[in-house]
Amino acid sequence: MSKPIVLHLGDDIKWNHELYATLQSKFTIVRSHSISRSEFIAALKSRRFGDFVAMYRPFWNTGGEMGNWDDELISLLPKSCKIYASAGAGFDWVDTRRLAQSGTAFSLTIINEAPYPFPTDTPATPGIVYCNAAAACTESVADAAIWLILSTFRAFSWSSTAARSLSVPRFQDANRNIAAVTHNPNGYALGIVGLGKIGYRIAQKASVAFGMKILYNDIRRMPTDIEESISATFHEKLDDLLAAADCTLVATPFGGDKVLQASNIARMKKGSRLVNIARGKLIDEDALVAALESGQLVSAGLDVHYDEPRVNAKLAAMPNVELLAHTAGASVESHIGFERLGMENILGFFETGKAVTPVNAQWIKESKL
Amino acid sequence: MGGGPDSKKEKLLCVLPFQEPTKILDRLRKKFPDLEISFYHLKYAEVAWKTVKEVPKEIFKDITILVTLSALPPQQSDAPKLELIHFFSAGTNHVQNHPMYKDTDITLTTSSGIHGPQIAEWVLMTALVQSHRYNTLYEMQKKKNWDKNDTEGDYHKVRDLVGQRLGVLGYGSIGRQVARVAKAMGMDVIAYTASPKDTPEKKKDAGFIVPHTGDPDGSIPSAWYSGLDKPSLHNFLSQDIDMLLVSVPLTPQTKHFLSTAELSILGQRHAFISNIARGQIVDTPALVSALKDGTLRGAALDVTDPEPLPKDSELWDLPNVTITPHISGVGQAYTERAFQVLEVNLERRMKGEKLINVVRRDRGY
Repeated sequence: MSKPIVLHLGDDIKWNHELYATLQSKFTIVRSHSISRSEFIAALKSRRFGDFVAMYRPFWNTGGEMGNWDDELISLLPKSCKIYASAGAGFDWVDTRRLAQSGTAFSLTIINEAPYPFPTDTPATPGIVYCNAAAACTESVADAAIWLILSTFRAFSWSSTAARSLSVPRFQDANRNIAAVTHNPNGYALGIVGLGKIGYRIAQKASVAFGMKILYNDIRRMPTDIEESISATFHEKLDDLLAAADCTLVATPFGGDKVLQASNIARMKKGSRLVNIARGKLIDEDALVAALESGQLVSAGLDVHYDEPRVNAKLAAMPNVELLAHTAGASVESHIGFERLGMENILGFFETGKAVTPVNAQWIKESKL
Repeated sequence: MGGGPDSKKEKLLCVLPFQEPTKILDRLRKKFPDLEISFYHLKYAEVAWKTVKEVPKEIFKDITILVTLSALPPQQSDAPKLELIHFFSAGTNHVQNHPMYKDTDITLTTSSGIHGPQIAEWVLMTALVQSHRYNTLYEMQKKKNWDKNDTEGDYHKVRDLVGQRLGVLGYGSIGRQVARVAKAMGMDVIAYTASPKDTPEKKKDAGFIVPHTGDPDGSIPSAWYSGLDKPSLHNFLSQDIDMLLVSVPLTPQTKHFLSTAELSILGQRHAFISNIARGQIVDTPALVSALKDGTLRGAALDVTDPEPLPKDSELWDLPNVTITPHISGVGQAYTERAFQVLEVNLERRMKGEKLINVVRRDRGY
């Protein structure tokens, strides 16, 4: 019997050669390399890639040229496809719920060419599992978050741009005036919105290395041992967290809606700070600008932006705002991890029926097409 | 009954690709208290390279009756007590090379007889779609066109079925139900079988009949024909047939049963051909020719050769051909009726009577 097919999106792998050899021993790897959305759609329609059972995208920079994975693309996937494992932590560019609902509501047996479809209560062919690679970039993102937190407390952006400006007055201004308005984060409260793997790692570093107090808000409360490991206090209501935190950090996935609306920002503690390493669209950026302009917030640190790759010009002009070009997760270690984790997800899924880092499992169980 | 040792109970096992239909099975458990009925939900393994459904062979070791679609014990020694296998499918072609079929005498029964009602609806539907020119009427509706003068409609050329002759090539359970409906529509029906049915007893339907359907006594046809040889077949086909239903099983004798010569005979009345049996019974290139040059007035095909029908087949675009992807027999009543067949046989078994729907290995069905 011929090997099942895995569609490898994007460039050749760079690091995990042994693992790739294992993948090749169990699957026939078909390559799409980097093609435009229209070409990708045409390829799916003509079944150029065959009936693949999995898609593997090892890199963030390549293999995503087809753009957003919405209904238009997902509906063209072959019925054989069961799992999509991709580089990257965020998955707002892929409709993971739609992927989960690609299954069929009946089990089909073909006997002597005749179909025998029997309805099932749970989908006989469950939808497509989507696996992200957040686990592989957790460390990088957490370190970048620390950078941004430190900057919001110590005004490093102001200091850095002043030094780089080669302007002596600016140098002196920064040198003389920053101390009066900056603090050590030690003892201050870091309020984490979304205590997932990334949020937790940030909490660990912030509490152990920098002595920060940890508060958190999440859709579910963590078990006591987790809370105790970082001495975290749970705030069931987001607004309570926002009122109590000296620095709020957003670390949730993007599910389509903002997590910090203007009304939430209005409730943030006066003189506090905001850091975002999740997705720009989670925050009302205009309200953030207004809060910084009014002084309600004293500083902000943003790796992600509402309208990437365009950065808000007003924020860019503010010396008390640290900005990064969505590089929180960017490191060789992250990329080695993305490449590895994608393969581990596919191999694990077909070996045991369970992927390593699925993000849409809850919809696959409930799907009742 | 109540308190007896386990070995007295016969064991029935269902191995089927859906969840246990507890209502149906509980009713059977009540009706047959000496029968221990268990159910194994057969799932496809979620593993890409193991696409065969996996059944641990230990489950077969104590059973006397097996209800299955295709899962079988690997060999007889894995199921030493097995006496009866009831197939959820209509036929057993898919297992005819399996050791349990070839190398044992275990009684095999099928769920033949349950497909008639739904398939008969399909046959009439697809015939009427063409004779009533429904496709153009449908297009007119899509365009919100009420113009009765529109010559596209052709509706004035409708000829109803009254007085037309239906030839049923293969007067089995499906053929009988189509005959019943056709007769109600005013058609005359003639029947064809492999072997002669020259006594009232032979004309009876001895298999499973869905209540209130079919032709239990064989009284519907106005004439009967038989014989797998060409002269006999040609004799049947020359009987002024307006519509031919192909409902014979596919066997070595019926492969390409209908080819150029046969279609040409049917061309005498420009017959309409409806195939719900197997694509290979008809010689496809000959069929395409006959449909294009007007020998046949049209065709309704739920089965083709090959399946799936390739996209480049001319059949798809012929205006007088209706094609569906082998779905005429699948419907919601299937599971219930397949268990009804089993129930009839469990009753007969209990009373020591002859079972129905028994597969004749020599015949292949």
